Amino acid sequence: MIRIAAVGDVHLGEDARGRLRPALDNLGEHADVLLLAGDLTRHGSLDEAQVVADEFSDLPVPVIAVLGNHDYHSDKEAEITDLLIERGIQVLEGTATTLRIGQCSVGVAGAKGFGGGFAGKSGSVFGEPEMKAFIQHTVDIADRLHAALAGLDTDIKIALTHYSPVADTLRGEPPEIFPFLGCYQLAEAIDATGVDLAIHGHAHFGTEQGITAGGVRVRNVAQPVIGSAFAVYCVEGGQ
Amino acid sequence: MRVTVRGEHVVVSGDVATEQRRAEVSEVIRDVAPEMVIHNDVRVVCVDEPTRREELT
Ligand SMILES: [Fe+2]
Ligand SMILES: [Fe+2]
Repeated sequence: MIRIAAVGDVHLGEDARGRLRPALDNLGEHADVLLLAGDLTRHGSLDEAQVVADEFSDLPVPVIAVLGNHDYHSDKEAEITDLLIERGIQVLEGTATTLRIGQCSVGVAGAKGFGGGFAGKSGSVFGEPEMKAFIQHTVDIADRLHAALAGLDTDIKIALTHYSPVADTLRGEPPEIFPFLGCYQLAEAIDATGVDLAIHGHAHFGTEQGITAGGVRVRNVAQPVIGSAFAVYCVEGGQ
Repeated sequence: MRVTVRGEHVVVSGDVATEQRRAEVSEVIRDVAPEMVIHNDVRVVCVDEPTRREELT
């Protein structure tokens, strides 16, 4: 049994420094790994990222993150990534990492993801260059996530994104904005690659639980949704 | 953050990380719409240790 802690949308800044730390100090009692589902900052500044690095470094378990749209806002995503990596936090973007927990190998593939919408209510690579660029970004990220997941040969496979792969976990958000909250292409990548659990954030008004068409459990761990420092999911150790 | 306007009432809801950020929401609305009655339903998100865990089998 692998215990996966996860949280997204912590939106930290200097004013919130240390807020999560009391709960994180006991993380080792709850979990074997911590996943961060993006929107770690408010505006994507390096000062905020510094607070994120301080908050999530030197924890008793490995920490693996993806960035969210807020972390891109100041065009400092590369610097933020470097800063977090320097402090021992792995940052995935169309990439994967593996760890061994007891007898079990765990693979996590991550990507920010993007919008685009869901079955029958989605955009396509058609029309104006702006629209083509929007959906092409969606497709490119989903393709990279697919490749990263396909490259994993582990007992347990986890997909970590900021945007949602399904509409299920968006319930509570206005349907009009679903195309800005996720896209079906992420779920296609997840369903094609034998994923055990998909974790995302971004939908602050959404719900925690959902499932892909292929039957993969999806969990929205946006902090307002889970209402705690992190959520914990236990996954059976493969085979 | 969700903002709903009903007549001269403005209701804001959602979750923020700190009490200060919650107060800022009211301040910003007061600045841009001083005549409105503000209902600040914004909550400060709970960051306690989880009391439950989910077993996915
Ligand atoms: Fe967010
Ligand atoms: Fe977001």
